[in-house]
Amino acid sequence: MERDNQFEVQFLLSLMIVVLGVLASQQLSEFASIVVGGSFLLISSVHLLLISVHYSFNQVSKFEGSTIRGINRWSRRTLRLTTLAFLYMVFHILFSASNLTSIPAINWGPSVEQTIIAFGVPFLPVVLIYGAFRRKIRDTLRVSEDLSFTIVPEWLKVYHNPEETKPLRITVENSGEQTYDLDFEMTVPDPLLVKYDHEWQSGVIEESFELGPRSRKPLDFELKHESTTRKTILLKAQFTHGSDIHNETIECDLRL
Amino acid sequence: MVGFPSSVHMTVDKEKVENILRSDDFGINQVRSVVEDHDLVVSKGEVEPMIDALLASEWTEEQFEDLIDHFEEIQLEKSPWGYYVGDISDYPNFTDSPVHTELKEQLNLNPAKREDGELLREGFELDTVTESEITGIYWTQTQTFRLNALRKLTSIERTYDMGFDIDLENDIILINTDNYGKLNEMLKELRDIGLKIDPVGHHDLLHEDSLEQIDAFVSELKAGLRKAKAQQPITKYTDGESPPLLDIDVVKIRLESALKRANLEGHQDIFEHDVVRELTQEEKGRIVHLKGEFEFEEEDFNFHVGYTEKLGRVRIQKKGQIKRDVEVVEEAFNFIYDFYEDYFINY
Repeated sequence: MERDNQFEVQFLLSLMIVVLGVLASQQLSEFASIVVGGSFLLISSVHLLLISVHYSFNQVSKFEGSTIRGINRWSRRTLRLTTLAFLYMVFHILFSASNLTSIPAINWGPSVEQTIIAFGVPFLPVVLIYGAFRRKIRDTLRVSEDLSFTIVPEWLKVYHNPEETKPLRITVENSGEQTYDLDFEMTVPDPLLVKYDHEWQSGVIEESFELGPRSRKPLDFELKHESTTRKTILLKAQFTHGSDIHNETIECDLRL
Repeated sequence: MVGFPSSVHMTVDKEKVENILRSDDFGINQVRSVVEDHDLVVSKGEVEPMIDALLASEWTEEQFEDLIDHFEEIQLEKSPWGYYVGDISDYPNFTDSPVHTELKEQLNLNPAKREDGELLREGFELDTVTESEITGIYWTQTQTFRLNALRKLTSIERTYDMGFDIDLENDIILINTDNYGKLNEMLKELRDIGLKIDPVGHHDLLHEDSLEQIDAFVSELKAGLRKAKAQQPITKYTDGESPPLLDIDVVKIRLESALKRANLEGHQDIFEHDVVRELTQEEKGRIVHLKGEFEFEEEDFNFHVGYTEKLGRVRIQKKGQIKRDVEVVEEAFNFIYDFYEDYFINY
């Protein structure tokens, strides 16, 4: 998924405004330690700095030097940190505000108790949430990190004569150590015809295949059409692995 | 004798009709239009019943002539239209006659002789001779020995024809042939009679300047196509983001010792492609050939432009269905040739 810079910045600025608002508000500020609020603001500022540098350098040159790629990687980490810091702050306020100080079993003195509850305990839900998130999406992350899809070309001029039409190639690459069972489905709308596996077909093309570790599978298609008018239609290809789906669309310009 | 009405049924050779109807270029749509022209009605939409019906019906001379014209149009529309281009730097100057007359006489010193479709003597066969243009064909024949499919030595005799168009106003020679090897023979003959032909292309430019010319050619051609399209009447086919009017898919780069190909695979900008960048910047290669597609007057064309050591090359070929429009091919060629002239010949 492409990173939506605009949304990210808006999202971040909104969070920062919330935090600033909380710190400024008299009722809430007694529950929010300035340290916690300040840390969040610091982390999110660093993140904003990284993504603005990345964005502006990207606009100037289409080259992705190693420095820029490094900044990109770091900005992903700071994004995660920012979100977690915000979560931490929310729980910090909740725990500070709640009356958990009246638990009799803990008997180290009010200030130490309060400190632990206000600052230590909020780490717990944050870690839990992060852990659950990682576990749930770990598999999806691995799939998305291991598998890559390349389509050449992404838009295509299609003629009545398949020899005049450039062939389409979709390549799936597995750079991981695991074997993946993939289901491939391509929807070919009338009047487009696709030749796959030596047969001209329209409608839905389906195939399931296994992609072993460190291997690739190229899928080759020839195209032609039988329309009598010019139009543009979309050819959809879908790869499914378990519950994970990856979609690709190819724009086909039917020419006469 | 009273004059015959023009549609008298004379014996038209049905075999010839069948040959045309069954030829590769004569697709089902073309057969269908012939069926309609003959006012026949064929129930099934397949080719065979249509051809059978046509062969069974009566054919007049006139209808046969029309069929031949139809076939010729298809050939003209679908065949590639291209030339090797040479820059004329000197004309034969042995007498005081005007250039075109002297050139004509020199060419006629080496005339081709043909009889009944057989080539009796290699040489030049002139077609038109005017003050500004001389066109004709150069005929050659080669006899070679080779092993046939049963591994027996046989001799093969092949006749080659090369069309040439000498533009005396612009000092350009255009040669129509697919046989680059045979071309040298003709060039030598022309050199011998005093017609000096210089190579076309960026041979005399510094490496960076040659790349600049290519860049300028591509951007100007793109802009020209965009302008031409904007002047078109708005068709029913309106689109938000249309595919590019010019699409280059292969670039050939000449290095000191080799000719390399770079497949652009859909990338829009030649110079941003990794391989091209590496070969042109680091290895100081020159781009000598571009192959791609362009859209002109709602029709799609394949094109090749570039140059070799001896001559320039421009070639287009129409894609898509037959529309019985030969003019658009000529217009498209002239369109792209204008840009070729600006950036490969007269830079």
